[in-house]
Amino acid sequence: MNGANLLPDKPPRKLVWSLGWRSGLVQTFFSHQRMQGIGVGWALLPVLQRWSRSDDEFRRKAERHFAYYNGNPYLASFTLGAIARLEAEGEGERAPGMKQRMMPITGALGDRLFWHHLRPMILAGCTILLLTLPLNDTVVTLVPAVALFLFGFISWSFRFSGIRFGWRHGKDTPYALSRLNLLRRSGFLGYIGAMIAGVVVSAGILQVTTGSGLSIEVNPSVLASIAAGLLLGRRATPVWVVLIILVVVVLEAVMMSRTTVATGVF
Amino acid sequence: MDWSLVGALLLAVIIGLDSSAAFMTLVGQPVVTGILVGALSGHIEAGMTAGLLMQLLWLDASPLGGKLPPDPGPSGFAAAMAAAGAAAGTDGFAWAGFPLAYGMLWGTIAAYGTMLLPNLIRRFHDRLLPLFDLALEAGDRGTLKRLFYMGLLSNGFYGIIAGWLPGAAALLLWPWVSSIPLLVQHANASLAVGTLLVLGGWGLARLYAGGSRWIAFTAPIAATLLYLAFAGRLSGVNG
Repeated sequence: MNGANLLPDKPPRKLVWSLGWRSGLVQTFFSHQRMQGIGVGWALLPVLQRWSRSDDEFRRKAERHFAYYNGNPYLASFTLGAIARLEAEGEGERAPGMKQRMMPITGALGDRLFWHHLRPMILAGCTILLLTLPLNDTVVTLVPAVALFLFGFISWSFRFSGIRFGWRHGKDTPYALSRLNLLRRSGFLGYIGAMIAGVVVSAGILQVTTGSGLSIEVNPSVLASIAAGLLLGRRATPVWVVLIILVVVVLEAVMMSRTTVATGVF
Repeated sequence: MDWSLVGALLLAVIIGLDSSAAFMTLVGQPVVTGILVGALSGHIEAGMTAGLLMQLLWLDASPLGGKLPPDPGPSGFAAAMAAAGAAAGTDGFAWAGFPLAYGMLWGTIAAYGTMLLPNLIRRFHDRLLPLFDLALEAGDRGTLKRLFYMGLLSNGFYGIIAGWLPGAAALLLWPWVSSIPLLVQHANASLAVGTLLVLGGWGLARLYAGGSRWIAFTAPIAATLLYLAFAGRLSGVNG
């Protein structure tokens, strides 16, 4: 009788927690020889302990999990969940092959999603807020705290749901993950990133030219950054968006200085 | 004993771990570390500003395709430590933007360090692994745990060497630098030279680092402008 039939669709809650937080430490002993292999082996210790009946069996199973592994650290949990399922089904010998298949998928997806989009986007947003809001204790504490929470929430959601996803799909995890089409769906993040980049530049220019920075009120440069991102649509390259913002902001600064001179504000 | 220096040491360990090994949240990013270092030293605005600028310069630094770009965490930490420490002794200065230039300079030096150190750590790990190969092949969990803790330790040290050490060196040298009459009298010129050094350093590092196009284009412009704006603002506050 196949052990797979006896396994529930949801992994044991304790396993999700222990694998989930351990998946954040897979990079700890990074080396050129095994890359994240030692970290992945360490993360899988609870799985091996749970499904090994003797110390000898534990040693036999453990050996295959310390080998080379190199994927995106934020999505390592998908691989860990799938391997946990394989071990629970008694098909742990398939684990090395599973790792080989998961490495390019999690690498491509995670690099694009976390390194290229989410992290720089949230950090750029945090920078804008610290630049534009009046500096006081609340702002200085709250803005980084919100950024930490936002990024933490997203990355930990991926980590914990990755365990569940890997467990649910088992040996089909690579295929199921590819079918989600997350790479294509995350394309819009590039546009948002470009808009935020435009606003950062606008804020810097206005800070220098007028000394005021961006206000929270509707500002032509903010509108331009949003419009440029939307209007150029799929063909929008961020460089173009930023160039448009630069032109708008410089024009705005020139017009503001003319108005100031004309009304004799000095 | 200077407790803020000890606090900074602990913070450097956390940043070393967070930026390359453990959890990789945003705690190890300059925008956060700058504020924490500033709060520790009592000059939150100087620390935060240095952190913001280092953040913008290395916004897209990510270890993709086998590249090892500068690590923004420890370099931002060094910049903030130098800027906040220097800001404490700028009462007699013509322009308070000077400590910021000093911080950015040390941040850039630290950034170069972070391009070398992770490789050295990985080589150290490579040297260690053959010693434990037999035990690993036998599936020994004790060996695995020892290696794991060793990894944590080496990454903690990385934070100290890459972030805290340049910051402490900057604080040590600050009394000497701030007593150079030429620099004090020509603070504006020093700031300009500091800017050029930072951007020059950034450009050179960029040659090796790669990264995404939108940030490569935007970040230096924004960083330069913000640098000037913040230096002016600090000058307004302190001057």
